[in-house]
Amino acid sequence: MSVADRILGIILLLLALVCLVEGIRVWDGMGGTGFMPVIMGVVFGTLSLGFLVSRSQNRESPPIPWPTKGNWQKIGFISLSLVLYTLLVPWIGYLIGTTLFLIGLVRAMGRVRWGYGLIFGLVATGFTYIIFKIWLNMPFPVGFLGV
Amino acid sequence: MATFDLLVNGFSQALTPTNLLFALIGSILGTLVGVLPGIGPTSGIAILLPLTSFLPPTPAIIMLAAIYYGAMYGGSTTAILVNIPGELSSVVTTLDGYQMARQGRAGPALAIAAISSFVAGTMGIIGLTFFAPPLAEVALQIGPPEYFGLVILALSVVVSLSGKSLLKGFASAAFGAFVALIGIDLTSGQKRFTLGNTELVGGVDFIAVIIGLFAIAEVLRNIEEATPSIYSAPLKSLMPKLKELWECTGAMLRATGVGFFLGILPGCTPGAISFIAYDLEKRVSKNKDQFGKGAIQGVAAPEGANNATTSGGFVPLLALGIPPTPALAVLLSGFMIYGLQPGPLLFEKQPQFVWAVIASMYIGNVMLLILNLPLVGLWAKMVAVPYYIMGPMILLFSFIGAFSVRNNFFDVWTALFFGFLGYLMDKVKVPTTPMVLSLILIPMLESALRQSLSMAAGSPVLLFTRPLTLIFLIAGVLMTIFSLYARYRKPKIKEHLLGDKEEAK
Repeated sequence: MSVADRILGIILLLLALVCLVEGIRVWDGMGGTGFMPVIMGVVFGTLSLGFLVSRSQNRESPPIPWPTKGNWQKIGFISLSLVLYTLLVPWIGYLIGTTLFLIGLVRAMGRVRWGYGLIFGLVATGFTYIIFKIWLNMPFPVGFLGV
Repeated sequence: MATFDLLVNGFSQALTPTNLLFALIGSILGTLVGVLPGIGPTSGIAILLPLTSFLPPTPAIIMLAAIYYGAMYGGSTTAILVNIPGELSSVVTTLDGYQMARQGRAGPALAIAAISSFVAGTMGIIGLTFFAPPLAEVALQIGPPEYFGLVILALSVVVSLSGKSLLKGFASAAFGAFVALIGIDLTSGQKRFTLGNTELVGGVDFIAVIIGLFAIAEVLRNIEEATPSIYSAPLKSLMPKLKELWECTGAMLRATGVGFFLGILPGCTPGAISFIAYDLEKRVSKNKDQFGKGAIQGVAAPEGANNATTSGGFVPLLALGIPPTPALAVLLSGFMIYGLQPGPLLFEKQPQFVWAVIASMYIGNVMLLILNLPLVGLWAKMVAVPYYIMGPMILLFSFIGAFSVRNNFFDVWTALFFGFLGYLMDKVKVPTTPMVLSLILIPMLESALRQSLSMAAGSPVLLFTRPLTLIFLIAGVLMTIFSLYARYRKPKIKEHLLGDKEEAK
């Protein structure tokens, strides 16, 4: 049994407990609100046993192909950009937030020049703004500048 | 022959310049709605509904209907090119369509999607033309116990979507079921798994989940692999070979049957039906090992099924006034705006209108084929766009797509969470497709189970005594047993199912 399988088994066991507790909390009879959560608790429990007491423990599990250090940095930067963008765009608005987000991403992914990144950021932001905000009237966040 | 005469009459109406123009506008807008990840047919029709108010009813409904079936054509484009399903019904198309694009076969994938959509869509309309009233009556006989059986049958697909580890496939499906249960229970009004969070009360939207699992996770994978572009060598042929077209004929016909007949049933969404069509195709195919790796039938089947579903959906809408999908419910409100009440009386009182709409659907499908095939070359070139451009654009469209679901940031966070989860699941070889399948099916299962139990005063007897329910349940059990048997007993079939000769030893 690999470490990943063991972790999966533990996660499933926790989910089983969560489902059973929630199912019992809202139980209002057979086929009621708590019925499916209880069923799911049993399913998760059975699956977790499958992982934790798996026959594959005698077999060598292939190693998980985690990224290299350099790739971790790249993935970390992109993930952080996504999180920051989602956090900040309500405050700084769609136009500014998206332009900065795209410039950062295109530079991180392609190591392109600042000028190229700036043009790409402005064009792509403008294009999506016209389609989604102006044409489809999507309520993008405007931010403190009101744009 | 009365139906045929009425249809000819309908064509004479549908072929007027005004009606042709609005069928064309609807087809173009529908394709656009399908391509854009932030907008689906339901919201597309809802947004454009007020704009049709200046039109007479016939061109208005022709246009709105064209948006609906046009979206099914467009939904496959982004699924094939960048692994973002434009519509829920295109989730399955990503499995083989995106793989084809990565092999430089985006052109044939897009073309077969358009051709299969056309064939199945048109055959579905033939069914709608000649069998709408009797089929609608049959559909009405299907109650909650039959739905329960049908969902169990559909859930048996999990086995064949599980890849190499059945346990991991089931774990993925179970997690999808868990996510589907989050939120307020509409029957009792009780909250489940919401942890006191008001955002979770409305539940987790599956569009945000799909965007995360497919689009965001794929970008993270491509960053890791330092992909220069989705496909960098010169593109191979843009059209499928005649042999491939011939091989897809069966897939298109089967997809038509599955899509049309299940599409008639209210509540059977194109998303769920495309999974069933894909699984059926995989089961009957001689090249099972190619599914998931770029099998052209793996694109033809779900794309055909979702178009046949749209045609099937018009059967209960026009014949009974029952909209089987949310998009058709919005279309029904379009009928209401004009004082038209779909149902048996509509065929009697407004035959010119009904038959003009039906005839326009034949024309619209031809228009969509003509619109989509020449665009194949243009779209296919997108796979060569450098990934440092494509990646940020996919992430931006993912953000917009998730935000547009309910215009809030909770869905964006959901998409991000499932993006990271999808990436990790890929690392530990847990398939994501079973999760999506159960996310779609579990709410249907729960609702059907509850209604069935309340029909029999809390007893599950109805689930095992109604003939059609029993047939579905037995078919589901048999399909599961066959798949399990194939996995663990017969090396040759196992080899096909798993697509790995080493595993079969």
